[in-house]
Amino acid sequence: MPVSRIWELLAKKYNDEISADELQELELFLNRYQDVFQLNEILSGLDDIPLQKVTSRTDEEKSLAAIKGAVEKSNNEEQLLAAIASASERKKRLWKQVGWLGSIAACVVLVWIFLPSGNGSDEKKPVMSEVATNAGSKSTIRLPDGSTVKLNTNSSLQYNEDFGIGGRKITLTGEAFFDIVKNEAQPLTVQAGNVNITVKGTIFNVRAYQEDATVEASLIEGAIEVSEKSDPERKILLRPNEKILIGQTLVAPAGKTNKVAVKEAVLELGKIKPNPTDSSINEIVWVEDELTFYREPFYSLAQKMERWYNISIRFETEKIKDMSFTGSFEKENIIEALDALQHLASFTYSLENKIVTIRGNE
Amino acid sequence: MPASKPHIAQLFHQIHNGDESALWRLHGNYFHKLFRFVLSITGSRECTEEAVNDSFLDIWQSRHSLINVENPEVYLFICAKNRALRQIRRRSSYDKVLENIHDFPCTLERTPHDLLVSSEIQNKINQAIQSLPIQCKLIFSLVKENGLKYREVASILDISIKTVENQMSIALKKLSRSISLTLIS
Repeated sequence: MPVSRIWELLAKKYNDEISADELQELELFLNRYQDVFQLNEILSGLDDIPLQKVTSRTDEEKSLAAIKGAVEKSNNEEQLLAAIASASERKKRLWKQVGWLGSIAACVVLVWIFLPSGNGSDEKKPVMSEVATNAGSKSTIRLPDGSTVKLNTNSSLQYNEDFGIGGRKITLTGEAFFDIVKNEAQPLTVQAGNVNITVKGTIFNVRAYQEDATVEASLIEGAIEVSEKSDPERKILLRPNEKILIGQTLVAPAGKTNKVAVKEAVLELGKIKPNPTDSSINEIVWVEDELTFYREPFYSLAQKMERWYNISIRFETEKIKDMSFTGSFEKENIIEALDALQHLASFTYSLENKIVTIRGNE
Repeated sequence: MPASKPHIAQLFHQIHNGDESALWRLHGNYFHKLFRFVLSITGSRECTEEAVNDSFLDIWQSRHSLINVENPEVYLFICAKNRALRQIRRRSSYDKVLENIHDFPCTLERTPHDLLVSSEIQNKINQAIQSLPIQCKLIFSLVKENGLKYREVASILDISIKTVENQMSIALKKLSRSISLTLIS
């Protein structure tokens, strides 16, 4: 009896890998030897008995619950990554300035100011249009020459009615992101506080809230020329990714008893640094409809939130600064946003005079 | 057993299309099978739990490319193997799973399904399976429990088809010897 061949055939049959020819060969052995026949019967019977599971129903349920949680988390991360990708796509489109049209929010007030002509002087004052936003709204304005301006909260912008024909003059209070159509013949001037900015065609951001006491201009693309109203001859040319801070800051005096703060002139030239985690730019983070952050350390999220909410954030404890967060804010106000972060990390905060102070809990 | 083959291909297809419930069904069908396999590699139930869960998550996260998977069952077992190896971090023998496996439970189910195999014989077979060399036992359990082909077992364990064939012959020989059936030449 060719024992090894029979074993091979039986194993193949048991494992369902036997060919028609081999099956025929096996049949011969089955008919000839009683032992082989019996063995084959038993092996066939064995095939129908499953192995005892090494896991219980509880094991299975526990595993399923863990996987469901992990899958949900993974899905959320995927969605967030997609949102971030589309947000940066939006930013690109914004910069290319093709068909960028935001809807003007309902709360925007569009006022035509007709300054009476012939009010004693012969000089004809230009007719200005004004767009303003309140604390809860941002607005996108399409200017007559095709340039677009996005206006941050609590801001107002005036421009000459014949904008693009009789010059291009803008007055800004608050913060705005400009994407200006190139027109060599008609340079655009932005007057913001004590600062004048002269522009040909370019993308830049100006922050000139009255309560800030400084005006900040950040250049993304192109070239702008910045000068102080009091000293128009002194012009500072900004290159892309540069920013300038002009104005006065309150400096606390050295002596404790003297409570009068001193104003000090500031002129500071700096670089725009993209955020290392998602290459967003803090200066213009407010332009997005959504503030998204992915595994972002608290200190850098705080910088974005300062811009987003027009507040300042201070940390009283160091450790909490490195805690990282993933999420997004859209309509939430600063209180709601901070409350949401409190669910993710243990800290307390106080809000006073637009200054948020954060203390990590031990 | 081989009847389940088109089923897993269909589940993979549904998972590829983003159907989470297909992943839960895949889990229902394969959790205990992967568990036995991974347990033989890690030797610890705790590590096994984690590795098996991670392999299902891997399947979900790689769902976009699942459409290219030729043999879903082999893919699933290889995912589990890789997760198991990562658990034990036995880098030196990364490819040689079989040389470092641990003993694991492998017995027939208690309820006799077929009158041809009495419970007495079943007990004997169980003892025989338990006393198989563990490598042989692992190959036997993969074939028996999952109806895998020799070449599938070979690619999961990174060994030759011939080795699988030999080990299966050995397993069957020992099992039949345990029930006093020996082929005499």
